[in-house]
Amino acid sequence: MSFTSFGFVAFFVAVFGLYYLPPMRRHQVALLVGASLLLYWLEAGDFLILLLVSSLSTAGLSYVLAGRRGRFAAAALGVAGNLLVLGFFKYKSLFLSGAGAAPRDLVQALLHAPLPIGISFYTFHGISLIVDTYRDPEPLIGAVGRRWPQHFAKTLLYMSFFPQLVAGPIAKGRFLLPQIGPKSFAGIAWQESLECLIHGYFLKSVLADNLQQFTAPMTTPAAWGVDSAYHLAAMMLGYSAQIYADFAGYSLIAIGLGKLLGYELPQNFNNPYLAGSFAEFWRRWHMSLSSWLRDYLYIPLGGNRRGAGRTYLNLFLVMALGGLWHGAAWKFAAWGIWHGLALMAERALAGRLRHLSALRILGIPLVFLYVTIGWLLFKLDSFSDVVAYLARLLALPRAAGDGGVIEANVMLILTALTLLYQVAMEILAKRDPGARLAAARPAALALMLVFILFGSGDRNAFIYFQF
Amino acid sequence: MPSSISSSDRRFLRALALWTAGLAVGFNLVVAYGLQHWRWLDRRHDLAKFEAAVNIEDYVLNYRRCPVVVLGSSVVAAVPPPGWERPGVCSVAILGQGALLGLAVMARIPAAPRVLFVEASFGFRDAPPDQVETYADPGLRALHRWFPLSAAKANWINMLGKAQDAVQGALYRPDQPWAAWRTEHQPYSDIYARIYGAPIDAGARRHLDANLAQTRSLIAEMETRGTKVIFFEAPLDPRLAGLPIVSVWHDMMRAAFADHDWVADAPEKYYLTDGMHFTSGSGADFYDLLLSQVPVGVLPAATGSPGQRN
Repeated sequence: MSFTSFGFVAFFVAVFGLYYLPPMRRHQVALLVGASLLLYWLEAGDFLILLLVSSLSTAGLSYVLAGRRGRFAAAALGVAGNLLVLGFFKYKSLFLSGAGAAPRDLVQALLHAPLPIGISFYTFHGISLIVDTYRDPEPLIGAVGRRWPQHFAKTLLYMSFFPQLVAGPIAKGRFLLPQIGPKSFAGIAWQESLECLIHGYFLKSVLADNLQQFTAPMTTPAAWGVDSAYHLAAMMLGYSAQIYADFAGYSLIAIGLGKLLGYELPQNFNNPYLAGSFAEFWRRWHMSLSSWLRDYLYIPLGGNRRGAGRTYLNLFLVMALGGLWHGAAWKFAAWGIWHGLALMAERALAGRLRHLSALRILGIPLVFLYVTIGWLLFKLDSFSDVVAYLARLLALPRAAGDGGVIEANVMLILTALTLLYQVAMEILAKRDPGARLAAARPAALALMLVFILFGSGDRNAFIYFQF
Repeated sequence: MPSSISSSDRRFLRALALWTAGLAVGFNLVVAYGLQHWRWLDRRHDLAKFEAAVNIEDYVLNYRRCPVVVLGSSVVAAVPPPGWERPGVCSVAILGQGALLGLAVMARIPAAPRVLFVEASFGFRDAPPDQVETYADPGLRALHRWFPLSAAKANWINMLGKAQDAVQGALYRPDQPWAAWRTEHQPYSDIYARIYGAPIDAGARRHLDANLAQTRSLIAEMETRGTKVIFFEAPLDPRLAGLPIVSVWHDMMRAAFADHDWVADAPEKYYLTDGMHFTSGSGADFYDLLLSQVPVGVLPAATGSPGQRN
């Protein structure tokens, strides 16, 4: 059930109403676990078993890790188990052929099973919890106590919390687990929650969903032949705006829903298209994944502490694996490598160009353009399609065709709105808007709400649900 | 609820609700007024994505003013070209789909035009039940009437497109020979050749049979309301007309409605942008051909010069 469906809204209202009833106060965790599992079952069916097994094993192993004996073995087993589950279900298609064969038994059924929803996110939650507990068990013990039923219930909620289960933000155990406990209606931060929800739905329904109708033809190579280069370029820029609005919108809705239930989720985006460097881009884009990869992959590999050569290798590996995390296709690895190469080049040149302050201003459009070209690897079906698209784009002068000029203009307006949105957010975050502008806040939010009510595009699945 | 909302949150919620209500009402009033009084707004093309919804929504709101209806796929979008309409004739072009969806919607409302032209060529496209429900829903019709911002015509994305695309004052008539024009535009028709090039298997045949049965029943329903139904064939590029699904459906329709009036013409008379869709001049010519079949007295006498929108 997507956040933008009426079914989900009705579901959330029902859960919210029950959650804050006085008799439910002692059962809030159980209610959230039940609601999360029910929602997952409605969406993913039998894969609920996989989520339960993964949660149970993570809870059991983190329980062992909180004790004194067998800690290394438990940690290794926990990390390997989560990676195995993720690797099997997500990447089997890279190595298996004959996916069309009818499943005859359990093994065949598993081999041909589709990607379970949210698996990339909940397995990363599991690994984070195991590793953090192995490194320092005290915060976990402080957060969940030493009793198994409580430990299990809280771990299950951490793994399955429905606002973030399907596509994050990825919350570390030390961030989310200490928050689990009774919540009161009086404690709801209404303004913050509604602001997150309105911004999220505006980005998703008004910008991303409206852009979707214009960028959809990108996946039809037959149509490129009659498009103008202008239209092809506008679609590429439009998709760049769309994927930001889609995922940032989803993340803000998740954060807003979490706030209404009394939970803080980590920030996932910070105006990434205003980044002046590639390193900065990755501190602003999908921040919860970047932070996860840094803490559990880049730093354990040695980070930048083992010399220049090793640092470049680590950057390359982390970005390639981070790319592959998005899906079982080599194009995602290529996307990661595309970014890895940029980070390596930037690091190599950083010392020599540091004194050029103008680079920061030039860097914003350069990074945006580079990132935007990289998104073609997400949108198009194959690496060869990306090459063909770019070749077509560069080969055609604008006059080569007049196909879709009006649509291209609309796309560029929507793209500009998405960028202006980030500029406005950046300014508001850095400067105190003052009392007069603060009073205008409800008016600005109301304007966004009117657009959500009357100007949303056709409802589309969130792009990141497929990952 | 056991506890209250803080006073600052209450103030915020109140301000948000008031602003939202005020802006929603204000925008709707402006749009309602603009659609009625700003003719320049109406003399513009809708974006392709919205055009089907705009046309169907317009028709279900105004069907009583339409004694003659031209119903079909995107081919009908230029029959007539925008700005060349005649009073009492409503063209309902359903882009991406075809006459079947329009017939299904018409059957759900009390529409009873005197003459109904039905495009046969792309009638094989489905009439999804959820879309029929949506377009025929009286609640949504009322919503579109009283809150025009909710209608496709006033959608802000559609407005962004419309603002750039005014209706041309003159018809476009290429001076190239038909064969040369056709060759030049072949890359565009190639796209349709690929889309409709698949052979008809048993499953597709069953699907066509089901759509034909539905068409038969809907046509019968319209005829019980006193409507005279006339079928017409789009003068497609011969290569597209010969594609499997197009030609099979053509034969099925001709056989099923052999006892009805048909309008068809030689393709060489018409300039098509992509083997399927009319240029404005050819669309106007085909419109005239259709209207020549309307019995005298059904339409008011034509007034004003061609190109004057009604």
